[in-house]
Amino acid sequence: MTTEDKNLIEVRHLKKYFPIKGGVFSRKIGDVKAVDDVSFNIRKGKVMGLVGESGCGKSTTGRTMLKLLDPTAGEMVYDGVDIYKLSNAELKKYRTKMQIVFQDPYSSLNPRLPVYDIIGEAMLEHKVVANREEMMNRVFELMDKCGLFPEQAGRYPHQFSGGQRQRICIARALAVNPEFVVCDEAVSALDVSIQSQIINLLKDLQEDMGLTYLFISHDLSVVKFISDDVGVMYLGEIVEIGSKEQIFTHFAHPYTEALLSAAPSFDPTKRNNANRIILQGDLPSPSNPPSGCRFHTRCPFATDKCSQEVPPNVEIESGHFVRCHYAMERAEKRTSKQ
Amino acid sequence: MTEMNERKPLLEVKNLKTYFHSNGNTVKAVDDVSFEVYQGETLGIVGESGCGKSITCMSLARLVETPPGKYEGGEILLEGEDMLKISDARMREIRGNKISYIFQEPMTSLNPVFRIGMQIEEVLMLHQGLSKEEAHARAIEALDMVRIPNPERIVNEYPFALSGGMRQRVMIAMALACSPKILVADEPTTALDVTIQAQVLDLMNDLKKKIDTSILFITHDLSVIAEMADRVMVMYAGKVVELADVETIFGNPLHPYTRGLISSRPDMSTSSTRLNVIPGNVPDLSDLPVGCAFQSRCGVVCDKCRQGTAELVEVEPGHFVRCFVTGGKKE
Repeated sequence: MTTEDKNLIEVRHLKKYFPIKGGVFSRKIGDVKAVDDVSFNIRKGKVMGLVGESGCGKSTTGRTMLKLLDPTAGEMVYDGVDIYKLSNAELKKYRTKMQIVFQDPYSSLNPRLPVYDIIGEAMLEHKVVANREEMMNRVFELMDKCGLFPEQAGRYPHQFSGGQRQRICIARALAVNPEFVVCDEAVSALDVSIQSQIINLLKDLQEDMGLTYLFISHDLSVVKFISDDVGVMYLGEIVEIGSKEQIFTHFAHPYTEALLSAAPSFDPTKRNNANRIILQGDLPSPSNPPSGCRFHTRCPFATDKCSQEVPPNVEIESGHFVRCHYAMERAEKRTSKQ
Repeated sequence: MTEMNERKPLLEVKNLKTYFHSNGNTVKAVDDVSFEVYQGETLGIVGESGCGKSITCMSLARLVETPPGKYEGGEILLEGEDMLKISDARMREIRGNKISYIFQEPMTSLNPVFRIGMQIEEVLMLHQGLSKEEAHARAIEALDMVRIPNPERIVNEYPFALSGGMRQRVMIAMALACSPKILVADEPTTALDVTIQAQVLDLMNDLKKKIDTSILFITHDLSVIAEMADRVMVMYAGKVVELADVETIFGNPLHPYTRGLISSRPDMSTSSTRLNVIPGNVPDLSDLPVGCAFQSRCGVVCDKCRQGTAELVEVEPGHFVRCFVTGGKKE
């Protein structure tokens, strides 16, 4: 992460807690700390990947950033403005700049609207276009750009396949000329051969229109392909963040190492890898995270210190932060090995 | 491979056809599929949604609902017995005993209102005639075998109390309770997280060695296939398009579809700026074109492909390909 690039987005100490209610009067008896003190920057025109297992808070982070969920605490600075401090009317202007593409192209399209209304509705609402005629022209243009046939604009979502629906979702997100798009598991529900089409489309659009992405996925190979910077989340915290090379080749956090080694290799001759770390146990509950380092219950290298003290966020190289007591030692050990 | 061919296959599927009839349409979900499974091997079946991989495997124990499904032809020989000809009573003796299944969704495959132990005991009491006490002891052993911590406690829990990975282990314990000849695993790790997937795959490989079961492993994820399978069968639109051992499939794929699938995955070890793509969409099974089903997406299509369907040809020992262009016999 070099400093000369301008940050489009700065997330500062973002927290999102969901209350747990119980007892006779449904009083609040605790919190699910879905996102707990997360900070990161996204450079303009770059792709930030966010990886982690289900329940680690990566989707909640994406949605809270766009204020689709109300934040519990923290700041989301978009181009110098903290959007959480804005009134609803002021926020509306920013809505056109930030868009999201969801995982499931089946449930995220209104089945009763034809495609031109799905894509065009927001243009009229946000006055991106002056009238319906202009809207239709822009819908056709966007459909063409996203690999759809403009003559199918009158069809309904059920007449399209999964991959085509995801193209509609992307066209809808681009309708209001956004600068920043959150792709929340945007290719996870698609077939392998369709997945690569959509990844290429997202990448082309990003390059053509200079978009900035937050690319949320559990699939490491997809994140590695598309991202410039990568953050690894575990139980509501970012445990390691850095450039793609730093995360995939100079990783220092044991969880990142486990995640990378758990991903099955594409090469049948490389199976039965002796260095593979198989984590024991399941993800602990985010309502009651472990003391000290949150990963210590599953970490193969955990010591007594890890269960007692919360690890600091150590910068081991420029822009490469690791939340681990032994980050420095682990990084040095790696360099001496090479 | 050659010594494997001399052995007698455990399961032989010959020209299996499973069709669905509805509203005057015929969907040929499984169309003339033949393959063998040998003792102790893992056969991976790979393909996209709707290619017929799950229906092929469900047909093995006649799990396809009829109607709308219909077994239109073929034979499924398990140790010489034809699964399509035997009585329903005999079929019930085989299900869960000689052939057992693990499905993708561990939540919906377990009955939410019965304790875990009870669901495993039922299988043992039914197929092996054990008493309630014996079955209970065996259920605890089975849970211990799939590395569930505190099996004595978990055996009395209900499914909702367990996480997804744990439930999938319970499913494996249940499926392996009677030491089946064939374990059919239909996308067993697709719903799981990658670290949990690694645990479950590791466990399956371990257990396979221990009890010498053959596994039919169905998945859309090629990297899981690379990890698990001895041989791989690639399906497209209800037909087998390529069948070979796993090194050949990844090292020397011949069918254009297999090649496309392999090259379209972003690989962890290489870095390129664009992905290769198979253009177009998976065709509608009720409206297939004349000739090869892959023709509209194929880069090497020729006139012959639009007129007829190629046969599955053995291009080198153990490597079968269904293609006019790339499936020619090597001299």
